[in-house]
Amino acid sequence: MELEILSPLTRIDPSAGFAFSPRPAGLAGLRLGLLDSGKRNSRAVLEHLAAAITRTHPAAAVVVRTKPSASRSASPELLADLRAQCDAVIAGIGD
Amino acid sequence: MTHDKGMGMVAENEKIRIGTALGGIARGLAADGYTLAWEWTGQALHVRVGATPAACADCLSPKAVLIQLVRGALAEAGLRVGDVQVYYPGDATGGPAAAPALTAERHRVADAVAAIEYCYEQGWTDGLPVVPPTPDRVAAMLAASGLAPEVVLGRIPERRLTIRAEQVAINAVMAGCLPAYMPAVTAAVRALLDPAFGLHGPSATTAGVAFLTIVNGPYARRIGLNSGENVFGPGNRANATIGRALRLLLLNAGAALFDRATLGHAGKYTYCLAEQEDAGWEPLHTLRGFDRHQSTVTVMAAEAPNQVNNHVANSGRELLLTFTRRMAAVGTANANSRGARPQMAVVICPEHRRTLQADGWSKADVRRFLWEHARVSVADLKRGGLLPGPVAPGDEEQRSPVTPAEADLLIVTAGGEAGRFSAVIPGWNTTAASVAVTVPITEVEG
Repeated sequence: MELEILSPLTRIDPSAGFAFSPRPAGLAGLRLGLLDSGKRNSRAVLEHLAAAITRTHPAAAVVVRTKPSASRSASPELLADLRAQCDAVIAGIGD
Repeated sequence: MTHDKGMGMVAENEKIRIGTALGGIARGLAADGYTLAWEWTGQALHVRVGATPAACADCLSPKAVLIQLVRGALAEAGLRVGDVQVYYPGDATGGPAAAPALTAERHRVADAVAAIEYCYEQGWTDGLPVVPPTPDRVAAMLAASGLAPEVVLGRIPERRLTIRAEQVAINAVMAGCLPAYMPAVTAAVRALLDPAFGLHGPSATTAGVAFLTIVNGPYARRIGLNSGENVFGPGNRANATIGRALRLLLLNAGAALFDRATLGHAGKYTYCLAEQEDAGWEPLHTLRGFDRHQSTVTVMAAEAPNQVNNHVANSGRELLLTFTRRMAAVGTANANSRGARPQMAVVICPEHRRTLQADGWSKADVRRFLWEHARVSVADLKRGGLLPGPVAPGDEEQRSPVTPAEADLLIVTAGGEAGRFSAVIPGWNTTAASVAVTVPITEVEG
């Protein structure tokens, strides 16, 4: 007998969507943020990257912040802080 | 969802029974395209019938007939609910609003066996066959929980996902749950979606962790959850399907593509047990601050059980010292190079428990002793290369606990009567990333 079944999937919540910020035209003179994920050596990698960038694109400031756990999103407070202190932020995760 | 003690418990139990009693009627209505929701005030039962777009206009019984059916089902279950009020679609009464329809996408298949294959083709299974989630089965599942389909049980913000009761019910049907299991499933889902549990991390990690799900209180016994022989093994429907429902929900509604486990473990199919609460020890939920008569579900991000085999020791202290060596063995998140560590569960079998009880140990005593003695030495970490440098004088004595605090050890007593096998279950990451969450089973609200 023909029957009807229901999809077990869910839909992405559009109200919780992300939007990309406009990209800066260049890095020179900007306040550069580094968001350390909390993974081992994350900070060392980011600092190395920041050093390489600022050699060719001198930044006005380099701001480093660390998430309490690599497995958790940055808190709204941390994001607000980064937004206030930085023009661009580099984040990443890996082992 | 708060209940005063005594009356609250009675109400909770009554609601679970009402939901179960009305399941057959909900299925009958659903076959004709109608939904059923209900609300019990303690004095009256309000039954709401809603029409889906597929509703058969001529199929709805006269209201008086449905009232008789409801009364009959309640009487058969030995339930006295007071006045029964039934509201039909279009009723201009002051009663509760009409039940909303199921909104999940519908798929037509040739028959039940074709439905099983269809679910495989769609990628909707955990690798095992699923029960076809027909609207009538899903409606019965929702009716047993008392939750309307659109009720939001929580969110996975990192994935922009919202989990609603309807998806939970659909996946619970697919897992093979009976409607009576739905309150445990929904409570466990609320626990998993609690920000303190941090579901995104333990369900995305390369570490092979699953959701250890421990059900406590009278509800666990009422639905026949196993706390005895083969407690992590196969053969019991409630254990097998409640745990499976959580995994299916995550696979189907929680974006399975995030799961990057290197090995995973068998508990990712299902990992649910009840505790033996008649054994003279405080059950887990009372140690976590709940009333003994409250039913609860606790979820913890956990590795597979590591069995602790000691058939020889005659003293509780020796047994516990055997446990501590397993608990502090390097190579788990509880014995790593970081200072920060996760929680850990310990399952104590009846024979081990009796030896401990005969020596006068309470469960709280056991927890304290295990926390004080399961310590990881700097020397062990250095030998494993988990800390740099050669072992130096004093490294053997420099020791740290396997969990941040004593209360981070979750002690559960379960298992078969024969055999002196307990289990140590390492946790995941650190308590900053995830902690166990306990949710009372009070979902059944009508």
